Amino acid sequence: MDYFKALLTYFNTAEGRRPLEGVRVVEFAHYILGPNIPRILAQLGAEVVKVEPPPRGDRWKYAPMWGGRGFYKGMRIDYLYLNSNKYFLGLDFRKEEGRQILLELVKRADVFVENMEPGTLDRYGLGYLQLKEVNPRLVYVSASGYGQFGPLHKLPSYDIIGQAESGIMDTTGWEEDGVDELYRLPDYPGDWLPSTMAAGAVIAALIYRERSGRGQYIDLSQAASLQRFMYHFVYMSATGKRLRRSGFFDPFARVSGVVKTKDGKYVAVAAMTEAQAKALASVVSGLPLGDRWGSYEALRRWASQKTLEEVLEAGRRAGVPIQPVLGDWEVLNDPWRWERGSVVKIKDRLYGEVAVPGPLAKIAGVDLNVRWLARPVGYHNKLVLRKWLGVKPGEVDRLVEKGVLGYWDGQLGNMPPPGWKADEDPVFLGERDEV
Amino acid sequence: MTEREAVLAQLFNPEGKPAALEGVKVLELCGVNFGCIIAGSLLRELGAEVYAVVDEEAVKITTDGVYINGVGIPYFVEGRGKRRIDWSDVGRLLPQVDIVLDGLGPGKLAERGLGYPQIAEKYPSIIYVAVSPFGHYPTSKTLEYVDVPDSDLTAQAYNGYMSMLGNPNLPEPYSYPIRAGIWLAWAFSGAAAVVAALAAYWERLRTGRGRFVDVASNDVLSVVHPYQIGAAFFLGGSRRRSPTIDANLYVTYTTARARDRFVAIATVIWPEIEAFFEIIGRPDLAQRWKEAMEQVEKNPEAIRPLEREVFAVVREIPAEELVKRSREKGKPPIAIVKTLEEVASQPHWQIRRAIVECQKLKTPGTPFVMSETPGRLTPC
Repeated sequence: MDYFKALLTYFNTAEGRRPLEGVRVVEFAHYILGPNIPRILAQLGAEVVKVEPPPRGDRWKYAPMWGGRGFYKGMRIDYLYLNSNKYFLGLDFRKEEGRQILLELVKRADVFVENMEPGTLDRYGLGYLQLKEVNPRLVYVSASGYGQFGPLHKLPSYDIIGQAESGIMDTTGWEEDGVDELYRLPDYPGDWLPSTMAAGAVIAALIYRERSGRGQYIDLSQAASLQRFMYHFVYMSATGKRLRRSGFFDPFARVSGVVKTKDGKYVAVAAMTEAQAKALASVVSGLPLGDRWGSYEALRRWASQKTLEEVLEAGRRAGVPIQPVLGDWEVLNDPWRWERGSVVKIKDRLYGEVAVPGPLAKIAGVDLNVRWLARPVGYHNKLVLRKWLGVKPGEVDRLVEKGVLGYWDGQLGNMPPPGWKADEDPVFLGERDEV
Repeated sequence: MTEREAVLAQLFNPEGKPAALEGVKVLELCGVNFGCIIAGSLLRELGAEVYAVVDEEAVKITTDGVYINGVGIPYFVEGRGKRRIDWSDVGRLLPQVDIVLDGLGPGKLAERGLGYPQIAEKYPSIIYVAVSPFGHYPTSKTLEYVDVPDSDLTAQAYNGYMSMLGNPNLPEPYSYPIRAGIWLAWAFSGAAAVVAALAAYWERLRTGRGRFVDVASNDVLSVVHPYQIGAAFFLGGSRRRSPTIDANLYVTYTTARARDRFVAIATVIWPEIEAFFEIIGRPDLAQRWKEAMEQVEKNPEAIRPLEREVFAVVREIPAEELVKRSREKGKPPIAIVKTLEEVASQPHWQIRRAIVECQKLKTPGTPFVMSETPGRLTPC
């Protein structure tokens, strides 16, 4: 059997239906931690309504990125990705009529996601215990830095605070040879990793609900999600010593490090097992095993005499993990990623052609690519209320007049693209769906 | 304790509750690929029964020769609650299995008659999850690297992650790109595999059909984080490593050395940035920072002198004092960067079962705090 040929038939059989189609999610979240949970669920086919108080809503959309260059046709690029495949409802939940609409949506939802400060939504009658009364089958997720209970739960958080409190920063940097530095992990993994874990928990809760008929409350802590992968605690407990920050060395590898090649490229090497270390020793002369800096020096000498391609070829031949340290530009232009679909160019109906990341996993026969990008606050008011509650466009206009519903403020980060015309956009008018 | 806290502590009490994935059977054939092994352990925490053919090389992976009853530290954590089986048991188990985890590399299980096409023909309802560096979906790289195992370090490198981490101003080789201090790429691989596997399982409840799921550790960070692709697409080049100011926001969203300890400063939106400059006693810096940010496009170095000035001021203030001032002002969030020792001794994480005792050792617990189906940690 030709494995790859046989496998390809499964990928080439496009069936169209995504696994979570039919699952309905109400998002009441901002920044990254909360919104990434519905982003993943939407990628897998769930129908997500992002509820934002008009006109500003989720404030993450306004943060200037790359000195203001991160805005694309009026919206921020990472916000466009992070909130892709969602429907945008501009609803003032502080008004009683707005709160009632939200409750009606919740009655029809399977999942509710929020990441306000613990207890905030309770004050508006939108906490778990209150929404459970409205919909006992609801899977309700609260995402926060420290969780909803415990002595620290009231402290405010962001990714970086979650990183500081989890201990993960104390694992990242150098603590060698007089160099004592530690760093935040870049690009906010304190949001992305916990929210990816939460998406798994949500689907598990839905599976349990199929069996039991019961919804539940998921209390996600950023810091605890990072701690889940910190084997340092075991080391400390077993030895009475701390596992020191080790820069580019993987402390669990037999031989590892980042070295520079003859052509000036950084390359990462990690022999995780004894067999891999021996294989590496067969191509790197004088590689002492069991001596971290000694083996590093041998690797460094070896790589400095070879081009990147020669180093990679040696790794392939020996069966040892060796890969280049890629920068953003190389990631975007990596032919493998385009071939695999880890980067795709989409043509969004509103914002045009944009390169976007592919799905977090490929599922054979299912297209999980971005279908549409984020929209400004309230863009889908008419569509959502028609689809979910059967509300007519005239009634939506009345609710807008009363300030119960609303739209974007037109500030940078919260606007349709230049030249957009409301009366020519059938999705905005609620007459048709995005796809 | 407030009434809300008391109610929630009771609601989340894990005693006597079922697990979400009870009845789900997972066959773990991961070799030494810990992205795959982590997927198995997360499924186990959610209640699945995990049968693992364990590679002794994976068990031996550890640091400084530390073993717990013969088991290396990573597998001590990730092997919890799994049932060890032999290759000879696999055929007998397959008819009962819901999810197969394959970390051996593209085509390796097919050589044993256990590739997805072979399994799907006999058991079409099986969900087959492959975790590998370049994926099983056939591409040129998949074939080129078919015999090269996975590692977290090389995955962090290939994802464009390490190029943003470390201090380029240190002497060589400390100035080189460094890694996140945990197996970040493998953690993401495991989490992504779980999400996709469970989505496929959810679908199977309706259709009865299995699926093939393909996770590539070399792309998982750069598809979940949108910055590597987004920055290059919009800036027409790569961002530069910055150990101080944030490479996206160009603000003091960062760690900094205070007089006595490191602190983490969470300034994202402008009111937080202004508040930060006020609490360090330099409100004048806000306007200057704003002006410098406006010049960055033409002059990438515009912020550097100001950055040095800000961090020099922070270095004069005790860490506790910074935290106190930020709490009094209400923003921005500032925290002392906790040492591992401090974190391990904080009651908060023990109350939440984020850090637990396993064989008398402090061990990562479970992040799955769920009111009806709490994360399962036994037997440890």
